[in-house]
Amino acid sequence: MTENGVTSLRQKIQEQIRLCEQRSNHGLWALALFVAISIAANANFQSLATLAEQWRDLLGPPPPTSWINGALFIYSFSAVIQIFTRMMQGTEPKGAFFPVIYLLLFYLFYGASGAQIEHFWAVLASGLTILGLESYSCWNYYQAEIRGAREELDRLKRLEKLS
Amino acid sequence: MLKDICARTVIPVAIAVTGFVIVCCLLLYSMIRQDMVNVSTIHGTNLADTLTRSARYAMLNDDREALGNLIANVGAQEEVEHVRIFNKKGRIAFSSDPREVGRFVDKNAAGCIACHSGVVPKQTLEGMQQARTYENLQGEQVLAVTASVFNEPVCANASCHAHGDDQAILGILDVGLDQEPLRHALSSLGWRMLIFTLMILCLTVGGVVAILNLNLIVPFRKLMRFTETTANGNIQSHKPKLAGELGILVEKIYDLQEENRSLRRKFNILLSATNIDKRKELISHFPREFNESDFPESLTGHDRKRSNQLAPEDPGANSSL
Repeated sequence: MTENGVTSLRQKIQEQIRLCEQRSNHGLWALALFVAISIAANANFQSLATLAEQWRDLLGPPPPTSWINGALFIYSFSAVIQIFTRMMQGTEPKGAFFPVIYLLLFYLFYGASGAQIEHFWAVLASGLTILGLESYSCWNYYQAEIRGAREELDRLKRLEKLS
Repeated sequence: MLKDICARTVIPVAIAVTGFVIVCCLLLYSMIRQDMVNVSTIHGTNLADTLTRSARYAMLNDDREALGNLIANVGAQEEVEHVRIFNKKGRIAFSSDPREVGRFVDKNAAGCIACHSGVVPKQTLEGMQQARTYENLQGEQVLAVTASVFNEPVCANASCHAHGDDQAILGILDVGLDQEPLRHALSSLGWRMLIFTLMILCLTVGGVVAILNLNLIVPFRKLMRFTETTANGNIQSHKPKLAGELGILVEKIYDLQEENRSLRRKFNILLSATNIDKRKELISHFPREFNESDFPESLTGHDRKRSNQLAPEDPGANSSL
């Protein structure tokens, strides 16, 4: 391998490490965003029902609370299973922010249907579980990638010394 | 902390189990609570219906005393917070609290707004819509149920106090049920569920940790200790007896170490049989995995400082056995 080839390969690996370091924090950012949304939702949870009154004529009545409960249960279960499956297969975690959107919708639906405060805690617990696991899986995957890339850098360094 | 295999294995399991059990318990609690409130509402609606039917005869006969007694007796029950009958204009005609008689109820109050929100008031409501929950002046939760007293042909045609047949509703019966027993039951249920959840969490997470510890973490640590001691050259290192894949791994590590020792012995013999220049050449061509320090000084024929010049340049590739 030529000297230029080695240098460009090293730069490529360093860039890869930088990207992995950024992506390994995506899960934590998603978790922080969800906590911020939850704080706002907690402050305005009861007033969401009043707000929904204005939209009710346009969108129709919200689904019954029991339906939303069922949807939250199925969503939480499938999301946890999906994350575990991805961890077992060792595939790249993608879309760490998607659960935040789903959980926000749950807050809105519960708020609009005039649900009790325990539904807020249920969504919060579900979000912390899913996003906690997601950020752990994300961090774990990219840390392994970073370790692999650093090993590759070491190998390049040895090759350079030998040549 | 996350570099430890124990933590890395247990953390995701603990997060998933804890979170999912909490979500399930909260949803279950909310469903039980809703069911209990529904049962209480049905009970209230049935009570209001029974009262209306019981009062019908007294109203047809314009027996105000009997009606007043009925309201007072029902209102005296412990679970009943209030009973009142008011006319279409909202004037209270009968009440379990005598001080209320003659007063007007507020049409914008929580229980009235369901029918009076539109321009034309609703004539009928579903069973669940007839109920409302509010906090009374004593700070107690009250479930109030309203039932309409409809105008019937016998009422319109009665000689005693005729109503016009164009009047659909003659009055409203309002029954308030004390929700403190329900609230107390829900509070007990909440505490029981919390204790139950904590017990499930302790058992599940504890069980997973114990099983992982027994089958993976302890054998893995034994393997680590064995690898470290043999890598440091301790030939007499105790070989751990491990089952399954880890046992095979121990055997492989042991075989590798034996092979390594045998190779080193052979090389020493080879070195002792050659002259000093040939030895230097052999050492310089020896695999990088070996340090020069692995060979006795008598065989290399020069001091350590000089022998460093013969050693491979890359210190990273010179890892000791």
